[in-house]
Amino acid sequence: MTSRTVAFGTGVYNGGATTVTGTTMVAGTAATEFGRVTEVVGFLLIGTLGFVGVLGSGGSTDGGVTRTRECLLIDPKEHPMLLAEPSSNTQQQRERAAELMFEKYMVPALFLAKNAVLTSFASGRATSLVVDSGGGSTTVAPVHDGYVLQKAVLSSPIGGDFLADCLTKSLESKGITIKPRYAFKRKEIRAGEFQTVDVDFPNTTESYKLYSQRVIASDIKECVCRAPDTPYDESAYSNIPMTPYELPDGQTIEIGADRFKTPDVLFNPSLVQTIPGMECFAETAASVRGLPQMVIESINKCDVDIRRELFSSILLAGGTASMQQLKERLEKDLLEESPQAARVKVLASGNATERRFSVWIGGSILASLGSFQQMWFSKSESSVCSTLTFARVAEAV
Amino acid sequence: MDAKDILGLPKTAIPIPQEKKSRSQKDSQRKPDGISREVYALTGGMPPLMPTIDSSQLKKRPPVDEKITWQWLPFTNSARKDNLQLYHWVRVVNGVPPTGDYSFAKYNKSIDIVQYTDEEYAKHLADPSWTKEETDRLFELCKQFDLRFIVIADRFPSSRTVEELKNRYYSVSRSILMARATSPGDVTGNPLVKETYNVSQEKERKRALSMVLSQTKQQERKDAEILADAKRISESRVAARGAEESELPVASSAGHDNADRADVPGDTVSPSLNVQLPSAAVAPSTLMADNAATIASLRMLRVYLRTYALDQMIQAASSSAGLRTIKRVEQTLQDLGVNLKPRVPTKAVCAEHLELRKEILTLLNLQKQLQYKEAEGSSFRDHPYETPGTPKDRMFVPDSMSFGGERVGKRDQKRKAPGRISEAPSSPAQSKRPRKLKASDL
Repeated sequence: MTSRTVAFGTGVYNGGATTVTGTTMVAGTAATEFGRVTEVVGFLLIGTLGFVGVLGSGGSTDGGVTRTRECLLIDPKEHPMLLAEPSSNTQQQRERAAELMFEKYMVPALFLAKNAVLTSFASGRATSLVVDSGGGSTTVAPVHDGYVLQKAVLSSPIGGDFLADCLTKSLESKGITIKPRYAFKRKEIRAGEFQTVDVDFPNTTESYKLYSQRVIASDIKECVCRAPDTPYDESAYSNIPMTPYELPDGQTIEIGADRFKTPDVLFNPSLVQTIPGMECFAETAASVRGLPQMVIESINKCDVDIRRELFSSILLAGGTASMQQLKERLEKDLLEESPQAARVKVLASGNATERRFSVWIGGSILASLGSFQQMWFSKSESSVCSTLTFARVAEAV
Repeated sequence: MDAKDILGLPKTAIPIPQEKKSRSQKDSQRKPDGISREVYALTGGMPPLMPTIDSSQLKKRPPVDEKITWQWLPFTNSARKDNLQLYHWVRVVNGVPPTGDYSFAKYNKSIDIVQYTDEEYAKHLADPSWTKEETDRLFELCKQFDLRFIVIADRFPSSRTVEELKNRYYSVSRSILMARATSPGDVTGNPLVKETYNVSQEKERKRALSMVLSQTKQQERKDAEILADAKRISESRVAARGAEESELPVASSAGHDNADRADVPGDTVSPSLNVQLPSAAVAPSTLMADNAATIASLRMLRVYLRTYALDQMIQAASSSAGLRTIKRVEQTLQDLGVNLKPRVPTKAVCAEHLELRKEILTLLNLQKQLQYKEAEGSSFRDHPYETPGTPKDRMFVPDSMSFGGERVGKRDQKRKAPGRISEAPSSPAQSKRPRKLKASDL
């Protein structure tokens, strides 16, 4: 379970009326501890004015908050909480989250914000098209005037994890197996030289094994993979030079065409069929569209008046979006398919960390605003209102 | 200098007072108190004519008697309807916390949406396509989302378009306002009453906009290619058919110009028309073709001088002739007393001039032909048995033709000048070509 603690600086604004302090804790997509978490979970404590967390599916939030409490040593009773939820969250899940927060953790106030809106705020825009490609999935959501247009939200199951799996299978077909970190030990026989000894843990669960392999494969993907400039073509990439990569067990592998093939799955999901071992996903992949097509489709589902504005402010967010050359490739593909009259501009913050945590950053910005303080949904309001009203209020943003 | 440094001797006495002087000068120009030197330098470094920065303001230290602390205090927000108490850091002066409302409460603005009662609904607002629940829901959403209709349309339970929602909202508001008004004069100033929402216009505008935005770049490129092809085809049709103008077809969904949308999409229509006519037409003369081609090229220019046009036509007409022939034409013109360029270039005059030139050209060509034939004839008469079989046959047939033509030509020449000239264009125009061909064969 990877977790990083980053200290966030203090800021003073509005003549000193509010101070923003906080620590962030990030929990990775953990297959073991939190059950099936599909979203990156991040928590921010904002100077006891607010608390931002990202909802996963169901039970994960519970574990997430508990863990945060342990790490940050805070008492939820004192802090209003801002939760970021997926753009296509159902009413039920929202209610459950609110219930959990109020009943179990007894937060004084709560607000549920959508991921896409927070990403949009992080880049200072009220209207934009957010392309969020994280570990589990890729979501394209248009935001207009601070609200997500839900009928135009599209998502595809191809995310960072899927790409890591593709890479793993591709390497396996070439005879390279990725050994999970727990499965071997490196002993120093002589000075500077190591020998790997296989350690056997017969009772490890499949999911943990998969998770550990994914960690390594993700690292390979982040280091080595690049989005190709043109759609992937077997013949064109057959002769490219191989890049070496050293696995944790000392093995050095050479990666050639897979460097470009794997990221191209984002743009062309049918490529999955050419990867041996991934045939089980072939049917799902056939129904899934590539990223540029999703963007165009999402924009076309919106009202005509805002299409131009959406085209000119397409935001990239998420871990997978920090892949090299992804922004350029997406821009190029969109220029081909977009209308003549619209100016296409894809924006992404230069910093990879910022891209990854743009939701969190947006949440931090939102919760520190003076005019946001009237929008908290307090416990008293929740007890007074009926579920329907709560639902409406809570999904305000 | 270095030696003195090494020895540790003091530097010469003379520069020292200078340094002192310059230093004291700088001191007088020194920055005013309160700001650092660099900041002062940013403003120009010199004291300004008018004091732009009040230096007393710049580094205002808080008065010593006040004691400032920062405290974590609860606050109430009048913009909130419940009594949630949140905490924040507050600047406390002398132990007295600031009073007054939360400073951001004043930003809580919302739009006044009309609220109708059930009776009012029953009386004024019933509509066949809208139920009461839908209308109620619409108004709730309008209140919640501050009339952001795009978002409202997105959240509306049934799928209504933005125009329908806007229409319903504005018409309901309007009816309510007018129904509640004590007299019609009260509400005529209200923008809701003054301007009605025009659904059909909005729909039309959106349809047009969506058409504009649905043209992808690939389609634009294909359109451009098709346009280029059509242009080429139509121009060749113009040349073949004669002086019919083909309007440049513009794609009906072209870009931003409203004018373009009004143009007839002639893309598919004109080439088809052009296809049918030439098949029926007889292959026209090259002279006519030249003329038509130049006319077509001239029509490409919007504005041109008639003399320029005349020159083009003359050039086109005499393109088949050599330089010497052109000179002879001009010589003939001068002999006849006609200016090389008409002095008053009106339409009729230019046309006549052109005709004259053409006729002279024809005349000269005929004369040349005549000379050739006479030479042949004389050589043939002189040496009747010399030439071998096949060429003789070949010569024989064209000879008879040429004799016939000659006679015609001779007859023509015997006639008076004006008559000859006037008749010249029709027959030689057609017989000229076969004769010319035969001459080149031989």
